[in-house]
Order: sequence, then structure tokens, then C-alpha cells
Amino acid sequence: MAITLSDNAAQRIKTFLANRGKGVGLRLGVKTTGCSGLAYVLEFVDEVAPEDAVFEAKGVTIIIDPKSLVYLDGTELDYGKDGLNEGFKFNNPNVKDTCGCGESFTV
Amino acid sequence: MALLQISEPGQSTAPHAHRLAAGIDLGTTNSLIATVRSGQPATLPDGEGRHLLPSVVHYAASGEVLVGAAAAALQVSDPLNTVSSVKRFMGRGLEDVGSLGGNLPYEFVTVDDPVPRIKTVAGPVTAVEVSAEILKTLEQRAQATLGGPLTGVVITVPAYFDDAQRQATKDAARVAGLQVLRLLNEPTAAAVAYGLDQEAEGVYAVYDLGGGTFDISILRLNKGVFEVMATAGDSALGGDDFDYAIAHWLMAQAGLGDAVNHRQMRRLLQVARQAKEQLSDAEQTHVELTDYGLDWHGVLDREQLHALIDSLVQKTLLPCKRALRDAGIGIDEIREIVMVGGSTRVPRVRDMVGRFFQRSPLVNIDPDRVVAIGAAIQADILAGNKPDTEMLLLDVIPLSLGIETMGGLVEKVIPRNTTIPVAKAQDFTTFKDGQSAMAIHVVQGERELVTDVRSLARFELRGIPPMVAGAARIRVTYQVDADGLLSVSAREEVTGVQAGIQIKPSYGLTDHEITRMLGESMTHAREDIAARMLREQQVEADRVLEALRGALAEDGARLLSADERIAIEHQMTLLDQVHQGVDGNAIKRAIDDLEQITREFAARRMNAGIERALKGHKLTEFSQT
Amino acid sequence: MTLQSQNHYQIFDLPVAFDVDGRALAERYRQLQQVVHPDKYANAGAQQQRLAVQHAAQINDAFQVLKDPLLRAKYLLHLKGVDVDATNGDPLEPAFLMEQMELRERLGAVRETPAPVAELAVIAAQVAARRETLLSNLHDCFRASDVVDWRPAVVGVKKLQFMYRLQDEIDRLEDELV
Repeated sequence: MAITLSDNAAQRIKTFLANRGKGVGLRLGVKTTGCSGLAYVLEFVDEVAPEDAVFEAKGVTIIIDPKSLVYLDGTELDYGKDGLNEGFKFNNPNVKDTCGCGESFTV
Repeated sequence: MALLQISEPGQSTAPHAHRLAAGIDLGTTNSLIATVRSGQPATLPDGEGRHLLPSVVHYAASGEVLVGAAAAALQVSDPLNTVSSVKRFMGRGLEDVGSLGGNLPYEFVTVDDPVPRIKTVAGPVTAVEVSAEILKTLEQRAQATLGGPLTGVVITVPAYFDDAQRQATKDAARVAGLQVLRLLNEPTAAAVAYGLDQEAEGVYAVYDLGGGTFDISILRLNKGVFEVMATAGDSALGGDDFDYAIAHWLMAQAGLGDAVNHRQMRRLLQVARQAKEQLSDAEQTHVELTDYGLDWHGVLDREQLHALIDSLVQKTLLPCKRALRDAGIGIDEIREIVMVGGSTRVPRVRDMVGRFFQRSPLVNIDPDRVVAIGAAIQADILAGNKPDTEMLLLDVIPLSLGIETMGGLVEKVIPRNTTIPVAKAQDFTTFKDGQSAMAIHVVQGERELVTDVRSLARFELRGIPPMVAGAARIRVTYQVDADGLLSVSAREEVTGVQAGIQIKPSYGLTDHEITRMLGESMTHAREDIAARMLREQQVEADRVLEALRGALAEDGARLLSADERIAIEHQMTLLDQVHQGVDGNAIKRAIDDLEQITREFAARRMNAGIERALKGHKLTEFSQT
Repeated sequence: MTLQSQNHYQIFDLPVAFDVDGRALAERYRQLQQVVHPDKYANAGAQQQRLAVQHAAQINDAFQVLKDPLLRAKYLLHLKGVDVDATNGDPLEPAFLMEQMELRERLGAVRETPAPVAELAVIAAQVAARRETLLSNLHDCFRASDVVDWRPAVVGVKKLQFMYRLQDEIDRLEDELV
């Protein structure tokens, strides 16, 4: 199982968690919805569920529910800029097709 | 590839359904927009990295409108078509405009119209339209940054804004096509930005001196609840007045008398402002008045500056005293004084405020950005991105609301510093036999004579059946919502004759005018008004359905019988079916029907919540014994 | 039971009495606003929002009344079936009225005194002291559990009302003098 963070993403996540003042880590996941099947989940975590898988990457605790694991294997989470906009990007090798905006995808 | 932000636990939205919300500080001198991303509030810069948008709008003969720094650059060369400090005219009539400090750098159209219009080459414009241009520019910046349209915004207003000024601000948002989640008082917004950082508890004073307005608010912070205890201020006093005082001194020094033209006045104000800013760091500054026929050199030192502005700063201390008194708080009970607004950078202001409150004020947050940050935090919560928050803002009305009674006297219906929302009813009667109508004059202010307070609206209750004098019982109800906006209704209790109005201030724009402005506004020109209305209904339908689904999941099993639930779900299906259609009226009808059928459920939920809240205290008391 | 049918004391689950536990009142007020405030319904339908405004307004009103001793006393009498404003009741004793007139005259003449601000402070202190005495008398009127005659309480409320008006006048003068 391999999930990686870019340096930039790890740095940002640490900052955001520190600013929030609470939370044990970051949840990555996918859920079924949207125009192209699946959509990413990116949330702060206050409580880890018993079935969750927990990883450590570059000093950041990553939490993934078992159902999402298979879709995210090999994914790199990056942080980048696009014009004025900035935010997180999933570089996911499992993705076959995304909708025009990239917010949802099929595998 | 879309760029994602981190949500609160369980708050990831479906793609394209992000609840993007922003806070806007619509200032006299500068405006800002801020938002919360990945849990972190921040003001948004433009493409060139500038966070502050000068609140300046330039109108060209071609119809082109410039907003911000580009417009500010034309202030001196084209003063008549460059509108600045327009916040001072929001909700104000022509007679007020004259008393707002003389030497105005632009001209007003003198027509028989309660709403003042500024003369430009592109035609007359109202303060509401100018503000709408600023709001649109900020909205575009937010859209470019967030990658999508805004669900809603929180716009800040000076706490001391009266109903007319608040209404004008909301009108500007409507003209700009923005959904206003809430009007928020600037000092309260500042307290939010500051309080959440520090998890502060206790009583705080927020001293907010902006470009054109002054507010003082006393707040009690307790477990995430921000309770405004009192507010006071002056909605026509600010750093601009410092600039005018310096400019007039310069005019006297340069022997100019009062005979300066518009360009010279703008230039004088520009130089005055620079000198003021330099004196924040230096003991004295060299002033060079050049261009536009001006030629004078000299020195302005701090001592002279103090002589010019001390009386103005002194003017802010009286409201401070009044706010303390209204809050029932002694100076020694104040934990900290938070300084907000660009004008609190002036060291003399800090000194005098510090001396008054007998402690050094807090200046460790950027006084320009703190209001927008607080508004963004509130917008994020109101948009529903942080459902578990305990934060709650309880604000007050700054000025008493009253009604004209016999002899031109004011009877107060809701006193100033009453917590909102609030509803108050007062009974009146007829004074003549057979009187069939009653005029109702709604006013705002503290004085006793109608001529000394602001007139908000007049309306008439007609159709009172003939009765002897004193037999009719006319109940006038004032209701102020969480935005601080007033609506008034009147009803003859014996017969049930009713009249109600959403208060439209005497200096306000009519709905008709706002619709016209919406139609004319550049961004919506291509878009049919009908299409816009349809989209609004669809958004509303989504909102109602989503809220109801949540409510059913939470309380459906507990509070509804099987039959009731089936009836509600049936109506939800109907709304779901029509809401993707093109018939806005059908959607509206379906929403109304659904609201009708869920009325009882809504009431039960609220009562259950109230019971739970009170049960909570009973349990803790029990466990303590 | 719905909120609308409850009196101000029931809303906060407090015993109907003139003495009110201020801390419990403030605490429950905040708890209730956490449930009903319109900000909690910013995403709900229009109807739910209206309901929230109504409830929040009612709770605000009840809180205002119970917080302030004069409003609370009047409200308590109203619950006992006595409307202070509509009751002529017993006349106030001449000594009290004389004192009121003296205080009013002194207030009216404050501007002409050599040190108006100091003079105003003296009067304010006197009014505050009188107010405290009246309040404690009022406490006694309400304290007995078997009260059948509310007339002394009505007189007490009326006297207190005079003191509130004097205070308003002092506040107004203070604003003008500074």
C-alpha cells in the first residue's frame, strides 16, 4: 500500500492542522457521487474509526477508510497553484477518466 | 484538475456543490474579501498580490467602469468622475450630504429625488450602484481564487449604521447579484477574528476607527458566545476627517483661502494623507504642495498634527463612555481593548484611547484585515461548513427605534442596545370619533422630538371601521431581524384590519429601481432576469430539500408519525420532480407546499431542541449534588 | 409545551420569584440561543428561519425582562394579575414626591452651578443610593410567600420607576456636559 505526500503538501497539512488547533490527522478517501462516478474526500480527523487504516507520511498522520484504500493505492497528494487558486491535487494512477473539472473520476 | 481544500469531519460536499462563502469588509477607504480554506481564514489578494482594494470607482464616457487602484490613480486628474468614500453617502439624503464635511470632491445632481445621485460622464450614479461595483470586483476576485461561484457572503457594516444605511448596503449586494448570508457589525467581526485566535473569555472593548466611521463595542465572550453588551459610535467620523483637518491647515498655510477647485482639493487631501501616514513613524515631515497651481513647501510636525486632530479623537471618547455606561461596565472590568481600522495606526489615537481605558490597547493584529477575516469565519459557519461550532454572535441595535406620537414627540418602541432579533408591540388608539385611518411614522434615534431623529418610513393603516375615539386598539409591531433590519406591521385588534411593510427608508431605493439596476448591471446584461429568478428558485429548492433530508434523518423517527412522514416525503418527491424544470413559479409553489406541510415538524424540532438545552442544565445540577 | 405558551420564568426553567439567580439565567439564555438563533438556520428553509427569528426574539425579550429589576417586578405583578401602569393604587407619600421634585430641580440647575460635572456626580450618587434602598424594600414586598395584598409592591415599583427616569435624565445631562 503506498500513499505519498509531496513536500509542499506535507508542509501545508501541518500548517492547517496547527491553525485548526485540534485534530489527529488528515482523512483521504473517495465516495460515490458526482458526474463521473467517484469523488475525493479530504477532511480533518478528530476521531479515528476502528476499521480505519492509519499511515504516517512525512510527519503527517493519514487516515483512510478500508473501502477507499483500493482506489487510492499509489496516489500522490500534492499542493499547487493555478492562477489565484491554490489547493490539493490527487495524482492517482488508478484514474481512467475524469469529468471536465476533475472533481470526480472513474477507475 | 480541480484544487481541493480540507473540510471539517463529515463535511466533504459532492463535486460542484461546494458551499463557497466569503466575508467582505466594504470600507470607506479600502475594501477586502476573505474566505476560509482548509480551516484557515485569509484575505484574498488580486493577481498582483494586493489585498486592499481602494474603494474608488471611476466612470468613463465610454461606459467603462474602473474599480480600485486603477480608479484611484485618476482621482486627481479626473476628480468629478472618480467616486471615493462613497460609504459616507449610503442611506443618506441630499440634505445629509451637504453636512458631511463641505468641500466635496464631486458633484451631485440636484433633482427632486430622495436618493442623491453623483454626476458623472456616464450618467448619474447612486451610492448603492458605486458600492455594487466594488462588491462585484471583490466577488470576481473570490471566484478566480476559489474556482467557483460564491454561495453567499457576509458583508460588514459599522455597528453604528442605522436602518437606512444597512438597507442601502443590502441593496448594493442585490444589485451586485450577491446572496447576503448576514450583515455583520464590524467590531463584532473583529472580535470574532481576534477571539477565536485567543480563545478569549471576559469583557472586551473593540475600538474601530475607519476612514469614515467610528464604532465602539463592548462584548462579553463566554464559551464561544459573543454577546454584544453595548455599542456606540459616529457613522460620520473617521480618518478622512483627519485628512480634511490637515488639508484645511495646508490651505491656510499656503494662503489659499477657500477658493480651491476640485483637483486642488483632491491633491490637498492626497498630500494631507501622506503627511498623516508619515507622522505615524516620524516626528515631523516635509510637505510639498505642487501641481494644479499649488506651490507651497513646509513642515508638519506631530505637535501641529495633534493640535489639528485632538478634538476629533476626543469626539470618539464620548461614545466610549456611553457604551460603558449602557453596558453597565466599569473601565476596570475591561480585559483588553482591541484596535481596528486603519486610522488606529495614528499613534495619537492609540495614546488617547489608552489613556481613556487606562491600559495599552492591543495592536498586534493588522487593523485593516481583521474585520474581513472575522466576516469570513462567520460566512463559513453560516454556509454550513462547520456544523459543530459553538460560536454564536448575539448583536444589538445601535439606535433606538421609535414611533411618532401626538405633538411631534418620539415614543421609543425598541431601546438602543437591545439584543436582536427582537419583536416589540405597542398599542395605540384613535383620537377622533369615526377615524378610519392612522398614519404611522417610523423613526430612529435617541432624541425626543421627531424633527431631531431620522425618519425611516411612513405608512398608513386604512379601513378602520367607525368607532368612538379611543375604542380602536391598534397594535404596531416592530421586528428587527438578525441583520439589524426592521420591518413594521400594524393591525386593528378589534376587527383585524392589517397593514405591514418591510421598512424602506425614506432615502432608500425602491424595489423597482433595484430591479432596473440589476438589469442594467454589466455582468447580468446577457442574462435574462427570468432565468436568474428560475435559478434562484432552484437553489432555494435544493437548500430546502437538503435541510429537510438532514432534519428527517435526525428527528424524523422520533418526532413524526408514519403517516406524517409519508406525507412529507411525498411532497419532497414532488418538489424534486419540478425543481429541474424551467417553471420557476411551479418550483416556488412546490416549495411553499412543502413548507406548509412541514410547519408542524419544524416547530416540534425546535421545541425538542429547547427541551434538550434545558435538560442539559438539569443533568449537570443533578450530577453536582 | 411550546415556547409561546410559556411565561418568562418557565422559558428559563426558573422559579417565579423576584429573586433571580443571575448566573443560571445568563447560562440558560446562552444555551437556548444556541438552539434557536437564526444563525443556526442559515441553510434552512424560509419557514424554519422565520420560526427561529420568532423564538430568538421571544427568548431575548424574556431575558431582558428578567435581567432588569424594574421590568422583572412589573412582570411579576402582571403574572399575579396586577397591571402596574393601569393601577392608580395608593398615592405615593408626599415626602417621596417632595424629594423627587428637589432632585429634579437640582438636575435642572446643574448647568448653572460652578462645577456642573461634579454636581451631577453628587446627584447621581444620591439617586443610586435611593435606588438601592427602594430595591431592597421591593425585595421585602415580594419575599413573603403568602402575600395577598400587592399594593405595597405596586407603590415600590412606581417609586423605582421615578428613579429610573431620573437616571435617564442624569445620563442625558452627562452626555451634554462632556
